[in-house]
Amino acid sequence: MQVLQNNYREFKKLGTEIVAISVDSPAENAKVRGKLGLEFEILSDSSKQTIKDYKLFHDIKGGIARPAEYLIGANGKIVQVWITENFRVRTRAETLLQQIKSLQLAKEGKDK
Amino acid sequence: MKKTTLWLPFLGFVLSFAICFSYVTYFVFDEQVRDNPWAIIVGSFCAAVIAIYGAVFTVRHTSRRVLKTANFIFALLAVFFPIIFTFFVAKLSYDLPSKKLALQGDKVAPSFTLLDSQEREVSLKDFAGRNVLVVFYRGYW
Repeated sequence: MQVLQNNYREFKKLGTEIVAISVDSPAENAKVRGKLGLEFEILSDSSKQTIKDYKLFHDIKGGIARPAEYLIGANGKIVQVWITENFRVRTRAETLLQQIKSLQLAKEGKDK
Repeated sequence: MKKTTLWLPFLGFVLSFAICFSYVTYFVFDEQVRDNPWAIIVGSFCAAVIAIYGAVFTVRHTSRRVLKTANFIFALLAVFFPIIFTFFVAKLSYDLPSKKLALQGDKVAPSFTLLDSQEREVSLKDFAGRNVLVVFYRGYW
């Protein structure tokens, strides 16, 4: 989260908004946002429905989301998915940025 | 007999703790170290070796029971941190459901309407016309 915040401007430059989702309550998320100085929002999926829709449900601690990043395009379609197999290691911000950039370049090429 | 050697178990314990703890509080935000924390493992095991050496020295060279016990416990703890850390890095952190289960591929993203940190409703549709990076995470704890 901290790492994404550090690179938030870069994501913005690429026209990409960031939204985080966890099972924490809005109050807890407000605290985390304040503590880490996050500019992007954290959504509270307390019913775990969205996590189940994305098939990321992990049945421990009362049910939480496994870490994952989804890039969803302007048309609402999934463009790219990053799923870690080690919860300690998240996709690096530079990897995300690089791939978003190259996807956009590829798309621009197609449009022309 | 060198008096300073008697402090080694304590020193090893402090170092071992500090090195392991530095990962949680600081290095976890450094992607380089986070992805590859071997330096933390090596460092904390070195601290453990110092502590063990000091404990063995204490047992051999002093008859003070309290000191022996204390140094034995310090050495034990100094070994305990790196072992737990290594276990966490090498095993525990892979405790996730299979990657294949997750929703992937060229599909329409499932819609959602959830509350943000100010209890306002936010939907995926709100981002229509823009790219959005949806980051799922385990929760802050």
